[in-house]
Amino acid sequence: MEKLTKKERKELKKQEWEEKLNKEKRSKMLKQIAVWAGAVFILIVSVWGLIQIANSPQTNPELVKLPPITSSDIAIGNPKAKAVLVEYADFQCPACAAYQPFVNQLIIDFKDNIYFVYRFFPLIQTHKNAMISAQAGFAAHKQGKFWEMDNLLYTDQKSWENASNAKEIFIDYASKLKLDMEKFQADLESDEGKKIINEQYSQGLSIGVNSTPTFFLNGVKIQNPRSYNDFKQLVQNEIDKK
Amino acid sequence: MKLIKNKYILPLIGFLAFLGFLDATYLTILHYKNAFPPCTITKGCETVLTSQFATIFGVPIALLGSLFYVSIIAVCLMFYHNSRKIFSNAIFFIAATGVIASILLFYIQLAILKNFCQYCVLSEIINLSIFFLSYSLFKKGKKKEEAKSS
Repeated sequence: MEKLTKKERKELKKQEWEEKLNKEKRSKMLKQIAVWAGAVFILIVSVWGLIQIANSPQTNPELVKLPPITSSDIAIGNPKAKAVLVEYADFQCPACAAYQPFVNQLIIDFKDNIYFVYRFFPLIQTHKNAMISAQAGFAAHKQGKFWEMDNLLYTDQKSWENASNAKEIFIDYASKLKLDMEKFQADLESDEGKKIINEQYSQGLSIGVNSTPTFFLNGVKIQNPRSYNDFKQLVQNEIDKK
Repeated sequence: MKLIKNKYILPLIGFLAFLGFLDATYLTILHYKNAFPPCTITKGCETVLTSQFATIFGVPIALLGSLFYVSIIAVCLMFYHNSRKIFSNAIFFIAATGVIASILLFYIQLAILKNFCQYCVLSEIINLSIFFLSYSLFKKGKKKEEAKSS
């Protein structure tokens, strides 16, 4: 091996040192990239996981005990029907308004094979007219015109959802439905109505209703169907079951 | 008095911010699903989560919370790779903003809504912890600077 001069040795050392530095720099950068990628990956995975949790049913369907349907419930159809559909809804909720035509169609399509129960679940914290609209529904129910009022409330939801004179609008609906106005106005703010609405609301909460509309088909909470056909199929399955 | 070793402060802040991120993101997802979570410990968390204070200019507070925690995590990583003072200061100031928001939101629950939601309270506790931890980072950065200048 030939002997290196002092200068050459120095040069070589310098080169080695630079290489080492470069290598260190590179590995440091790689490490940084790995750490950042890892962090982003963990965050993405956890968001995905949370979405899964949020989408999973919160209560075991077997554990949910739907409060029994009583004579004070607002219902339509055949009480002895094979399919009993209970809806917890808020007149001011846009999704409920979107489902209302489905429900109407189900009642028409299944006639005697379905029994539909409407329960109040006014989300009073987000919907300022949720309570008064529920009360209007109750007052109309007192005169046997709940479903007519239900129709008006849902189809005209946009016109009263932010109104400060919602009460007057509902009184106007009542007169359109040719209700006994004195009785309607008395029922509108009666303690009986408030009590029933609040009772249904807290019963709903206790069985895990946490959004509107929430449907129970033969006592089992169902995921809201995406289309009318899906909904119809679900009900049909229940009828075919027995 | 030193309760926690210095080298644990940063990972601890990162971990807490991650927990906070899970908490806030869960609420954000539920907000957009138009649902609220099961409230087991405290009473009335649906009241809190559906109140007018749950959103600000249409943006859910929970979403702001998620972004807040992501920014804490990001700055922690920056500081981890390069312990410059600017990063520890940034953590401290972001954390301070979080604490101010937390105090405000806690006050709203206590005094206006008179209901608590455990998810929100948890997030407020996390913010307070992050703030105290980041304060020690901030102080350390300052000390270093003083040592340098003298």
